[in-house]
Amino acid sequence: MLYFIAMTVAVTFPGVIPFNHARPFVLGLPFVFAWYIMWIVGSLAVFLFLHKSGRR
Amino acid sequence: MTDWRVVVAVVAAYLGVTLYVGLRAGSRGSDSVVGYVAGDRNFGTLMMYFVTGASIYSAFAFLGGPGWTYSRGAAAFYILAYGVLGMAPYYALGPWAARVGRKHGYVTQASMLSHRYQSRWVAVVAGAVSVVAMIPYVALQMSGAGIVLELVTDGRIPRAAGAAAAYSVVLIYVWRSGVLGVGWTNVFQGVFMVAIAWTLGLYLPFKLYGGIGPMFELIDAQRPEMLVLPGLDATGNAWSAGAFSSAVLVSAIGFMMWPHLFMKAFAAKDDATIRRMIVLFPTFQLFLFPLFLVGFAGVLYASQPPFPDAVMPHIILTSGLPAVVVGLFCAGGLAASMSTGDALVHGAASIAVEDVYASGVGSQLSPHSRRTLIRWTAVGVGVVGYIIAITSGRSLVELLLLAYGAVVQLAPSVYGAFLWRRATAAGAVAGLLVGAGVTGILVLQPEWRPLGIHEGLVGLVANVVTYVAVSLATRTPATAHVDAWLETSRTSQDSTPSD
Repeated sequence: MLYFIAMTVAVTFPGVIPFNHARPFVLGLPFVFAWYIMWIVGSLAVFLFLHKSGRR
Repeated sequence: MTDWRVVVAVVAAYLGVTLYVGLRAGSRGSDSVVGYVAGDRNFGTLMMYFVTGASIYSAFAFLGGPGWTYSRGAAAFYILAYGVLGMAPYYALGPWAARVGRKHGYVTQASMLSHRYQSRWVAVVAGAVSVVAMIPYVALQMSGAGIVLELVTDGRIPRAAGAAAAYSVVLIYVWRSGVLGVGWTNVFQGVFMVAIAWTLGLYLPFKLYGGIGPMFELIDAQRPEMLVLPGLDATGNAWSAGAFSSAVLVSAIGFMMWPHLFMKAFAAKDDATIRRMIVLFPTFQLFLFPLFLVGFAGVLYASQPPFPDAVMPHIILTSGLPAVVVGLFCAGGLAASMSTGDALVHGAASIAVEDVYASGVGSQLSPHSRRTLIRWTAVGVGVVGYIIAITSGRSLVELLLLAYGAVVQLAPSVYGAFLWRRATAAGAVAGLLVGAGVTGILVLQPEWRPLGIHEGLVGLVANVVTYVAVSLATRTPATAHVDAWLETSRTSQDSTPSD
């Protein structure tokens, strides 16, 4: 669950400030937009890991 | 100009298929209250996935999401953030609730709290707060359905008539089939609206700007304030960092407190089903991505929609797409609205009868009478939501944020039930009342909010303080009951290791 605590910090102020800019674009998306998408994709990986490892 | 008759024909076909699926589903369940409210506790992963996903893909996301990205830019990213954060605790909480639900026969969240705290007043207050929160959410969905139909028919089907038509279909299959009707229509609608959203979300930026990258290049050159947080407020000025962050937090904490979502723990077949649904949930969250692209496509579009929530239909209607495509979009919008609205109507009616009425007056109705009363209450919830939908001037996202302020107040008593043995009924009731009261006052007096922080978050702080203080000041609940209840919640019935 450390991942989700880190995510909470990273997607709210003030934690998001270092990543809050449009450039450089990532795959055509503004950097901060890609930042949010990355955390969602990461959560999919974390949930999969938890499920496969049988952890609760 | 789009031929509105083709659009209406496509929409009518969609509503017909939805009604057929919803009515057919009713033949699969038992005639009991558990069958009507919790699907005989037999929901599999597919159904759980779409029922939960539909809560994200509502009219709020389908119209409000593009509306916010169009008018407020990066402010809309709060919607991306909160779903996953809100779902994460349910990985533990969902199976805990499912286990005590199976053991003690709960069908609603408030009945679970009532038994845990050994007080029917907990059910009454929690149930009342739930219903109060769910009605603006129902109104939002109805409003979204009405907006779509009104815009694509160029006003020939007024908003009020469009909302009435779509929700008449919803009420018919909820009446006949209960939660099974909700579940199976959600599967059909989920597939449909996701396909529509991805198609349009990827197509429009390419058609209008030559690609996603070129579109953002142009926005960055002409409207750079739209691409950085915290985005803009409703008046076009910079939103505050406090308002943005508190919107994320209050929505994340409140997300799985929504009774129509939480109650699905009582419908799941087993613990593994709940966990598989959670593993897959971020894929539904990613489906918001194409909708945001549509909203950004509207920022530099040649003409302006009549209001922000109309940006998606506005672009579709004015960009020369064939009438059949416009009709499919319209059906996708209705699917988004109805797939959430049906669960809300069904959930609010179940709670109003099972918790507020039955617990409040200590009524001993027969199962048949309870089913009948839930059905009539669903009609009543639909009517109240409809009146708010056609009279409220608020945006779809604003309506949802308002509703979150109320539903987040359930969080302390729900988490406390599983995590704090010392929590008492008096603490839960006092916390709920104080939290809801503070939130209500700040809704009426928004200038009293500190740093623009969401009223629900301020109410939640008052709620937690009251819950803890009153619990410590009142007599400890029966230890044997709490121990046995918690033991049940932590004992896995799957083959996987216990918690």
